[in-house]
Amino acid sequence: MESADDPEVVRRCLAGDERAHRQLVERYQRQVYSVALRMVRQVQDAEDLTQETFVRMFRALDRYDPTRPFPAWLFTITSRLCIDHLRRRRLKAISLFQREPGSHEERMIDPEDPGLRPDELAVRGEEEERSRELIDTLPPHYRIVVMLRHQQDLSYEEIATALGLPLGTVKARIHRARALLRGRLESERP
Amino acid sequence: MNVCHEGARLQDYLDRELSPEAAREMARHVAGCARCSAELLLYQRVFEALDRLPLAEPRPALSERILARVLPSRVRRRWVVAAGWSYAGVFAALVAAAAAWFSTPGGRAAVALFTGELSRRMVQALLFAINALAFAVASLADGWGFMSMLGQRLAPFVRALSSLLSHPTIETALGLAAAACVALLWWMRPRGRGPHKGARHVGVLGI
Repeated sequence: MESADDPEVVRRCLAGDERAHRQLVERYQRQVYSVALRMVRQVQDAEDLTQETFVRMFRALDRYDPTRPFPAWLFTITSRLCIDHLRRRRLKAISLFQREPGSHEERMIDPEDPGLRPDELAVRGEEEERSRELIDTLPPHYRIVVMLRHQQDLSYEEIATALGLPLGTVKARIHRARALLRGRLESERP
Repeated sequence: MNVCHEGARLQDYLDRELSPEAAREMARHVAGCARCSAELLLYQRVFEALDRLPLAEPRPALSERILARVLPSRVRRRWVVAAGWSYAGVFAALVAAAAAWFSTPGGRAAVALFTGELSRRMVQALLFAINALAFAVASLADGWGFMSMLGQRLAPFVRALSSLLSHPTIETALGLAAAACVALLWWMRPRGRGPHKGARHVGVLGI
């Protein structure tokens, strides 16, 4: 998904070119918004997080390394903001992390995720809706890796960099998330 | 081969993470193993479902909302507006504080003293200005005398110049030069549209 001229657009942004700013926002706002919406599942919060992602991205633009893929760098900011947001939202009610039985890995629990309101659910094709429902059943720490892998087409290495996690953990989470979904599909089979 | 593969290995296969040799081996095994074949079908459905996940469409106002926070010109404008409101707020607070202070007896006395002193100073400043103006007028009147003296000194040169210009040869030459200038200006006057329609003739004087 990376465009060849991202570093050039970034260079123009750093030179103060406002058209380049606009170009960068228009190019990536849907991707950022999609990840944010699937993570927080509320339109208003997703918009706030998208805006904050771009504000922080432009502030830190001079620290962007042009040899790295731009989307991976951008999603580093998005994912951190989403995780912080979920952590703040859930800390009010209950501890965020829980140890899985037989595992040393702590995982983020999702006890009071309200999901999208009916009026926020866009009317889309049945299959797309089914995909959304499936991914919404995953806990947030699985949801983010699956989104970055399948929707944003990031490699395992890019996801590991974006989330600041070891490569093995990223792979394990993606495999575990797919295994969970496989179990759900199997249980639905007549 | 009767070793059945775990889900992780099947996922690697679908993810194209296996080496070509391992992928061929996996394909051969799955073709002959009913359990792995069923498992692979389930994972294929998972992959298809995840790959179908569409991008969400943000509301149209989001772009402008973001740009308002990131475009350098709009950020500057926001700072200017913020500075303006801060200035207005501080000014209003100062006026309110002054009004509150003025409402106390001590404050009123201090203001009366201050305004008395201020009006005295203003009268003094006005008198000084009138004096300065009168002095300037007197100096200028003396300046006219200087101009008259300068005129007397320069009179011989003016007389010499006028006698030179009144010489018949020079007078004729000057008249011819003036006529040549007039003829030149007449030749360069704006003319009607020629064959190049739409092209506007512009003379040296921009006419």
